[in-house]
Amino acid sequence: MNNILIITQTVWLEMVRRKDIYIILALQAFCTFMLTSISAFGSEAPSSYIMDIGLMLAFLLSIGLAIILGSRQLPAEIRSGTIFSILTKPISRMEFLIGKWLGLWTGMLATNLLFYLIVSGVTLTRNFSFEPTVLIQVFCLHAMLLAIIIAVSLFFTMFFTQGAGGAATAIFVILCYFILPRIPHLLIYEQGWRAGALWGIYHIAPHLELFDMRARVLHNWGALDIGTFLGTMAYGLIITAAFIGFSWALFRRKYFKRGEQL
Amino acid sequence: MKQNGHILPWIGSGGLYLIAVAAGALLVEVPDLKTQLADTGAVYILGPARELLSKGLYERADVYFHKGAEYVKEEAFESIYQKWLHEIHPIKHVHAEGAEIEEIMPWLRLATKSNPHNVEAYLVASYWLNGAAGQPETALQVINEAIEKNPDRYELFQEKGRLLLGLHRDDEAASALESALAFVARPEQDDPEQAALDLSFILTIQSFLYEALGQQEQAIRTTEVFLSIHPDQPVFTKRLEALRYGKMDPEHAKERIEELFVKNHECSREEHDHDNDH
Repeated sequence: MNNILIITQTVWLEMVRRKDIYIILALQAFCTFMLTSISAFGSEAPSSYIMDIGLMLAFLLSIGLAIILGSRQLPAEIRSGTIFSILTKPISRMEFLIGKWLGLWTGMLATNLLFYLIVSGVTLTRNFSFEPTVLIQVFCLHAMLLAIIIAVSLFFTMFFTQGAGGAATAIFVILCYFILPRIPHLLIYEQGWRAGALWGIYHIAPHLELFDMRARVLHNWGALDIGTFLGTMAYGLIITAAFIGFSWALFRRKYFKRGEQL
Repeated sequence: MKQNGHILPWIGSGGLYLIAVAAGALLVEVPDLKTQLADTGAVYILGPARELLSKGLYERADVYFHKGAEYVKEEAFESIYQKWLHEIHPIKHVHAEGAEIEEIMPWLRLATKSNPHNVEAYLVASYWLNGAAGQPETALQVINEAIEKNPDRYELFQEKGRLLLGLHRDDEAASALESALAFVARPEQDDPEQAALDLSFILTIQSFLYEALGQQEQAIRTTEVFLSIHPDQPVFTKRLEALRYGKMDPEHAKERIEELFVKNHECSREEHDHDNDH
């Protein structure tokens, strides 16, 4: 456990040292504050649109950041050669992998918390009331989504370079988030083996759209019932664990060569 | 020489920055400049993107009008994931009411900002501002802005006429409807069938409006134009005869205008059962 925390700490330090998070946070804050300047034809409209666009930006930016940071971890260690010194220490490859994932995830949680504070702070100053419990649920499911994405990006960089791993993760996220929920509709127009393949993909691939419940807070639909909420969290945890497991299966047998440019 | 090597990247970067600022300035809407640049490459390239963005924002307004409910699409099968998703995003058909309607306004404003030629967004904004929000003067400002940016769209003049009639500015309304008539008669319309219907509607309104204003000649003229398009309308034939004999009833004409201009919102979602759902 101590080894995992040491790796986690190094990931945090790297996140703090690099400027990605600050730039993304500044971008989020700038865009959210810019939204307050919109005059909606002179009407005193509630600022649900600020929360809507603000949360959409939080989702987009956090997913982008998770992909960038997640796909950087292992290739950077290999490129700089630090992987050799790490693996000579009494740290198992599983501990290394979990440490990386945990560091990224907790770092992203902190960043996400700031995203949410900016959005809800700006929105509250503009007369939009929402249920804090619902926003907490949105945050938790969003956090679980990021946990999956980080695990997926670590998995892809087990056999791809940083750029290719990042691109593969981005494509995976787009497919599972946007295309997968549309398969039942697309199947109306498909028949034969293609329909069978799409049906199979629909049932096997992770359904990332389940982790986005922004509409509930935006339209005041109330909190998700606890059973569905915990079920969705458990589903996310299982997918995350599965991808960390796949990554470990590849990583434990991975042979590193000096000068390798992964 | 070494000093030049230090300066050149700065000059180059500064030059690029100035080009970027100039390109940005060209996209700012200055009326004269816009006319001059209407067919330049930047506007041509950015046009479709702006239209798409505006359409997306307009659809978002529709989602807010339906209190977050998305369009329901036909699906080939039903699985646990769909049921699960419907637990998170319930499917229901409700419409925003009262002050909630104002939540659609920022989306309509963003839609018109991203594409000032999105006439439908302007019209919807005007409709709700004049109706549920009870701000006819603001609605008129919106329509005036829309006309400034789309001076040849008859729908906007027609809406302006409706607003002015509501504000009891009948002379200005008549003038706006004359403009609508001039533009609706043009052959190049996006929806010729709707334009033909609107032409008849505008002529009918004008006929009664001129009667209400006591302008017999104008009332006769518009009724004649109407009958030239629809000769098999016995009610209008009788009306024309009455007008020619000087039988004017301004009060009755005003009542008819109010009846004709009552406009109800029509939900665009076909899948909803509007008789039983609400």
